[in-house]
Amino acid sequence: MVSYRRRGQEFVTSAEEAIGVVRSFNPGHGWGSATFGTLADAPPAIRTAHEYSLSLPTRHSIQLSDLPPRQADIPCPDGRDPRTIDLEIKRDMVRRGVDSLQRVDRRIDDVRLKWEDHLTEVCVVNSEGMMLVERRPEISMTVLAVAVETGTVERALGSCSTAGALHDIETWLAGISSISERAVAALHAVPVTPGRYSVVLAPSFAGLLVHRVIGHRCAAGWHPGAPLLPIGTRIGPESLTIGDDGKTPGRRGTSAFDCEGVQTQNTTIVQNGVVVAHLHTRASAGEAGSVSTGNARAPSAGFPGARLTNTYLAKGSGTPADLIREVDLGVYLGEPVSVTDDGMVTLRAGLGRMIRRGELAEPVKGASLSGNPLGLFGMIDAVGADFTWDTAAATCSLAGQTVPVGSGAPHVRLVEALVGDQS
Amino acid sequence: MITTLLDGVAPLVTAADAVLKTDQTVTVSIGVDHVGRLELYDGVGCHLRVLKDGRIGMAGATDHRWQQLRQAAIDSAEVGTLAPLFLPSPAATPEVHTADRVALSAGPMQLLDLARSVVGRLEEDRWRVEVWAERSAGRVEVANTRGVVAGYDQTLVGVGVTVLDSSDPTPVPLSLQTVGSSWPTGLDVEALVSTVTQWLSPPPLDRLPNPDPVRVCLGPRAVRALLRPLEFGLLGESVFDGSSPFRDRVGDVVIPEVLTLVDDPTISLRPASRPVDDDGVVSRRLVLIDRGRFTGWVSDLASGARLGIPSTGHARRQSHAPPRVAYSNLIVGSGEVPTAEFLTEGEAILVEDLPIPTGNVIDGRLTLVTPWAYWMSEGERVGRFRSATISGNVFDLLQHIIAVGREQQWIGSWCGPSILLDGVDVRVR
Repeated sequence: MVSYRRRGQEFVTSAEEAIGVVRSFNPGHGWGSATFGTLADAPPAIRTAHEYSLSLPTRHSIQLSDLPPRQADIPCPDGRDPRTIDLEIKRDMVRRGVDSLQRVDRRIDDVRLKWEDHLTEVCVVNSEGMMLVERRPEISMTVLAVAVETGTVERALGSCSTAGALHDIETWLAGISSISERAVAALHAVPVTPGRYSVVLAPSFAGLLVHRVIGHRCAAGWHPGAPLLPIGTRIGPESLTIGDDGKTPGRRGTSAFDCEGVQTQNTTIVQNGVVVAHLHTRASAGEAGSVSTGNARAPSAGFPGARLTNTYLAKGSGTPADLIREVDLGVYLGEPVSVTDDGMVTLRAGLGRMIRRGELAEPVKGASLSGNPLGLFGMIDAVGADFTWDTAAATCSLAGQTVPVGSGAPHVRLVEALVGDQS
Repeated sequence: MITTLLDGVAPLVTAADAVLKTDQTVTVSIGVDHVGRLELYDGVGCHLRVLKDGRIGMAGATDHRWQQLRQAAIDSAEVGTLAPLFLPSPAATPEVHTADRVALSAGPMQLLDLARSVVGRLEEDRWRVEVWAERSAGRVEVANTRGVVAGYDQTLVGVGVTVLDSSDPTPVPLSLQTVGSSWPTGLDVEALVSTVTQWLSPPPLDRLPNPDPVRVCLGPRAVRALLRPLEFGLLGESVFDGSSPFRDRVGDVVIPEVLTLVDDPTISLRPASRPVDDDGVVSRRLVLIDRGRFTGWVSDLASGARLGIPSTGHARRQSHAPPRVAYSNLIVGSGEVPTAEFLTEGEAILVEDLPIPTGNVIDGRLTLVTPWAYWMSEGERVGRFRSATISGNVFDLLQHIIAVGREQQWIGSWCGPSILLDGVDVRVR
């Protein structure tokens, strides 16, 4: 990890970690699981997990969906191992980023830029003969830019994540000054007048909305005991097709197999506005009489649950300009900065623009989009054709477990959506 | 153990310090289908920091391969930041109890019994209940090359529930938990169960029974969420070199004088109690806001050295990350009015909980939406709103406080009272 601030380097640090987790269940009993630090500690952990399982008799038997045994050893893709990148190259990229961010405007008061890279070696084995190994590289950069003018302070955030491809980081660095520009623009942005508007969402905003509202509600066990959106539920117009793709190359939620060794896949969960599938682990699939979709995920020592990988809203038709052109008075919401989903969903945008007579107008800040979770999707009247994967270093936290995720979407338009002001 | 690590590195560097943490956590959960899960996490984490040729190096590990860890830290210093590192010298530490004997001796079966007792108390036909119970026991050791060697045992016990009302066609999961250093008492479990009943029982409301402006009472959980921006604003780094609204305002009244905010790691048997922080700095009670006046901030050795200010003893170090500043037990001072009196007369909105804002909310801008808000009339919960929204800037909202409750409630390592507001717009539906 390399971190720089306005005045120079903050720290350079490294860490090496290893952890294993074994889980076990016996017919008529619950799950037992135990962690271990080295392979030498694995046998006692296996015994503990087995004993724990036996201590949990249950009338409700666990059923795992079938999984044929297989073996694979997947190396780190050529040229993607971040350990082979010279530290000076990493520091130089961070310094260049800091310079670009600071050069934007004299009102940029502070900038922080952090480089982080990992190479994670994942090994999954099971008692049915499975033996899989995969090396997953990742490089991420995160930015904070602070603009100050006569007592007003505004911040803008940005990040980029790639599966070890240095050129992705270079491409992102080339446009990094836009983050400082957002912070400066926010200094004189005005609050939005709360009310109902036509709203055009930037792809990153739309991607987060899809992940948080539809993706969560279609992943078995998204909240303990909470019902999933039933198959056949209409969530919105025909133009909505939503999926989760754990195998698309280079994204944050991508891997060859999940925590149970199931091959990842592209699962369509909403087809033409109607829920058609749920995301499963082997256990939740066994319970539902279905098959695993390869979505068993967990942080390193966690118990895997059905979690999202790279969630997307498929492209529709029309350019962003087309979506904006048809709006007489509305709001364009750019980068999302926070989201809450507790019965009502509220997403807050960092910086937005008013839309007046079909064109982007003055910048607005503090705007938020709120609504009943499914009601928001019912308001969608246009989905653009400009699909793009978000490169942000995003994570998804549920029940205290955080996993890296990706999202992708085109521009999306909602009508009569509730926009609030938090400025 | 930790001194062995430092002894090996001391001759090679100008200064060094390290923190070693072990943790054994047992978790039991019982799902809505009554299938149980019993998990054991057994881990160790070490963070080593060295000063060599004026540069700081850091490395972390999750095993005891000290030689590799030392070398990684020294390699890191080769390219590290040119910065001072003023390690503390040995000093008397406060007597703080950080481990509970009952919790230390509790095994999986005791946790299972605890979880089952909660399931049994909440079993109703219309509720789907998931319960978890967890006990963590570990040790923290801190040492440096100036002679600091400190260590303490630590326990943490939590029990939590997620309840869904299956008679509601669009149920909202209610998740509640009680967490402390000690094994929960019968009263703790009773409080958890009765909170579930109180929060879920009132019938739904979809509009305000009375459109006239009413008082708004925020329960302790809601207060914790609302005051979240203050936690960002009181980081030393934000105050002296960042975007804190309190920047350059030490000594000023920055929030209403009815509020006092204290960080106190020296209280015994609370989740963040400790005699020293992870830098080996002796713990002490620190008043951050004294009756509205900004009096203190939190910092660690690293941020303090960068800013030229002393550490306040708020370092948190983990094996995989650089040191960061973290609060210990954060306490909002109580007021003088019994909380029960807030709602005994007239009508009011009671907001029991608000979601903790995500992201950096240092500017105070919030929109918090909750399904846990109630219409109160003469002290009775008449009904629950499907959702209630509090929106605005927290520093403006705080100006509407008319009373602070006398009773405080611990929520994890946070402790605070209810507050009563007037003239605040809460949108309900």
